Amino acid sequence: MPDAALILIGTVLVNNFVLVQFLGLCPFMGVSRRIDSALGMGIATTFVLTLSAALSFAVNAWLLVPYGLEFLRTLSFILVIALVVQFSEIVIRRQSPLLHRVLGLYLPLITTNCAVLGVALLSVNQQHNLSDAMLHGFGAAVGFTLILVLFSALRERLELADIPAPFKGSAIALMSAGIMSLAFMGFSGLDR
Amino acid sequence: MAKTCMKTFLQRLISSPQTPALAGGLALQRNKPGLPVDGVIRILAVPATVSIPLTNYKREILQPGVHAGQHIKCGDMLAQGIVASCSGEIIGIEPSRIAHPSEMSVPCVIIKTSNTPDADTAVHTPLNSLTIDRIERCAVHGLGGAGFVTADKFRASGEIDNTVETLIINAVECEPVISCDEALMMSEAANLVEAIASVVDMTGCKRCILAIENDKHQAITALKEALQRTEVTPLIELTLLTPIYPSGAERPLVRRLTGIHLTPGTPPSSHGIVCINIATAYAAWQAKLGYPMTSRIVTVAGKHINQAVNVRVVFGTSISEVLKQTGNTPTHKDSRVRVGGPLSGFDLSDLNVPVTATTHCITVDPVRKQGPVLPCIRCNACSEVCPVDLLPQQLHWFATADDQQGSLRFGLMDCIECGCCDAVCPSNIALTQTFRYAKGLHREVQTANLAATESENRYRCREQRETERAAIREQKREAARARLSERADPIADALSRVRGKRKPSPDQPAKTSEPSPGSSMRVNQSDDDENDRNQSP
Amino acid sequence: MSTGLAVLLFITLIAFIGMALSWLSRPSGDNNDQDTASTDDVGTSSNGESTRNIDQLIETVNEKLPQTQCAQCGYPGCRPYATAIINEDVAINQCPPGGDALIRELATFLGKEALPLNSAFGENKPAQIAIIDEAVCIGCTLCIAACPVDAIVGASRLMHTVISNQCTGCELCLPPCPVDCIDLIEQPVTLSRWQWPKPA
Repeated sequence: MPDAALILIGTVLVNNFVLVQFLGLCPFMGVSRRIDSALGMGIATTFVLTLSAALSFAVNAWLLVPYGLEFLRTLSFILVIALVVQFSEIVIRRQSPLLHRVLGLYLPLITTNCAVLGVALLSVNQQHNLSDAMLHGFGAAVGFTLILVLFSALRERLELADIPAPFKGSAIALMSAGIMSLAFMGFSGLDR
Repeated sequence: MAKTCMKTFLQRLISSPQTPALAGGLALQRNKPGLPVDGVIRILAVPATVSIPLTNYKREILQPGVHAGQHIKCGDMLAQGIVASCSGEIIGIEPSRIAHPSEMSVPCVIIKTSNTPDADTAVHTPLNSLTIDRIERCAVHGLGGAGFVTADKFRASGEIDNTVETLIINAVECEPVISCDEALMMSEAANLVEAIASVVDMTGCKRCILAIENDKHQAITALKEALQRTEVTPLIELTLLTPIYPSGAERPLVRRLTGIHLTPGTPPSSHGIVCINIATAYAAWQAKLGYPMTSRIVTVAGKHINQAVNVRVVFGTSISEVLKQTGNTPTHKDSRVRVGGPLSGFDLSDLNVPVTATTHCITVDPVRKQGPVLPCIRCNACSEVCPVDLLPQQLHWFATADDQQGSLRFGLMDCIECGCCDAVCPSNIALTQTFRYAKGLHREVQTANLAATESENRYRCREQRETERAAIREQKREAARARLSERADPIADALSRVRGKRKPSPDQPAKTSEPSPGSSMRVNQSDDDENDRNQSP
Repeated sequence: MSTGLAVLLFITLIAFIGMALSWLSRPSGDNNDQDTASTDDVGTSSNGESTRNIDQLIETVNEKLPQTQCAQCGYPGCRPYATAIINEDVAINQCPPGGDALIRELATFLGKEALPLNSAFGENKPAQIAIIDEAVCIGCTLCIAACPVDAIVGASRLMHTVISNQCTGCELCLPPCPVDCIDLIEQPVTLSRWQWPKPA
């Protein structure tokens, strides 16, 4: 489907959730110190986003809309996301205790990640069907993972570089993120 | 600098396709002073005293098998793998400085030499064919600059699968100024071919490559003539390489000639390849004829030298003696004496250090005013010249931050310390020394890890032992308590036992003293150890 | 009526998902891994497999520690400290013999920040070994009992001596000695241990 490609390019590059729409900055800054932890976080978010996008769509289309309960949308979406995050946390704790320990608090924080909620709400806004909603969620997560991995590679090198004292730590990280954001804004118009 | 880069680029363009060009490296100007124009190499007179250090390739201190006052002959074993380079009397075994960047002292055997010309006397009987044992007995070490024990090189190959497939004779000598191998080739080409043939016969190799740079014209002509004249071993392939530094380093050379990439820590012998310097092959041939390795050719050169020359020096001669005899004693105030070439050598402050198998070159130059060390500008010139395809820039960041895992991931142990990156760095960063430091740190950490594992084992054994002892003690205490608690009134029991044993007799005085509480335990003790016995009174 | 049904359906949905989650987090009955070397019980973890993995984590951290068993970190040995790091999230900058190199390695492995060594737990001293002054030693065996790695040989009323290459420099033998005959000296740098210095 050409639509599928458009949705993917749109969410991964053009309207990248982290650098263009500025959602989900908390794990972006918090987990991006090392490449392997960033990749682990990205994969966890992909899992959460795709599943929660589908479930949110299902809840919205088959529960909220038919019964006129749109006012419960935010609440029910957060509930769905929380359940999916808990499920994925259990899976990660089993598969790799080290990754679980490294990600620490950021794993349950995916629940309050505005990117995850944003994806679900935006899907509703754009009136996607189920497959489009899942693709939208998957694309958003792929974009998020891409940015996370790129930024963590950058930060690993920044750690070794000779940075002036006032800029060390978060300051130089945010500045680098800003420059990356500028670069990604160059993709605008790609999906036309 | 720009000229070197241009020259390197052009050399790569015209390099022959059979021998693939070195990836990286620098095409430096040919600078080989002191070559013998008449093909005769001067032999330096044996000095009054020689000093032989008692260290081996691994920098371990060796125990001497001789003592002060002993008279020894040339070729006598002084310690494991070390022979006397001349006859004489041992006047002492004492710490003395050696030619090493650390400028440390190690125990050296000081020999007062006798005047007999023993360079011509064969110490052992000549052999018909060379053996590894004879190479070992004559203490042949690598003369290419590293000083590895040659016998061990051949033995390692034999152990792996009993054969040496490829023998590489390294006559490349790529570093500027060092010309000792070229001088040897110019003066004794015929003997060298025979030497190589004897090594080929000993190893039984299927292929022998004699690698040499293509700008050593006189040496190549001499060798070609010698190869044509002898009917010995048509196996020897004379391979000409484009002169790029550091083609002569063992690992890049093996890769260039055979295409095999050696991982760090893997010796070439694990692939059936042995690579020896041409001078080492000559020394091995001399060993076959019965002569121990007692001297080597040393290049003396530099800008503050009167006359550059290649001379044959007996091991143990001090560097100041070499300079004096060649008429090159440094007179300038701001001279620095360097052992080794301009890129891979190190500076010396004390000239009273002995010449050993690894001293291939002595240069006296004016002190170079290094510019200030500036921050890295990430120009990547270092990565372009690295001959082993490393990223010195990344290694620099990791090594400076003491990040060992990062350095190892980027191939720190592959570095051959050639100095090319140092030469091209526009910020004058001491890259090679940083990598040497990082490698040293890694070795230290590995040694510490081994020691830590050993300590943990001992700790575990000790904990286990202590727990077992405590458990045994507790068991015994429990058993004793159980025995005590079985009796309702242990004192009455003991009294009745004593009365029962004693027959009433008017002669014997009645024992009225009460038995002490501890003695009831003593009667029943049969298997207790000393601890418990000591507890009861 | 329909609103109530919807809310009921909603609650049922949540309940189902909750039950599915609790079924997933049941303790695993199969122990098909090979024998674990774990001697410490991490408590009654509901998940048997993750206990084994945590033991592996503790073992990995323990291997990075210098094994001096000096107790300067506040724990009676290196393994208890490793256990505390993994289980109780104790700070990783409490080991003076490990120094900054150890902190960096632990920080990389655990994804934490590499803080400087906490000087409240001691200073990072260069490698040192204990040496007994044999003229003063009275043969009381108190130091032998104190050494955690059995690096002192000797017996009652016989000469005691430290095996230099086994000594870790933990300083635990100094306090028990009644005649104060044990000194700590820096490990001498020999030619084989010499390394290039870091360029300025």
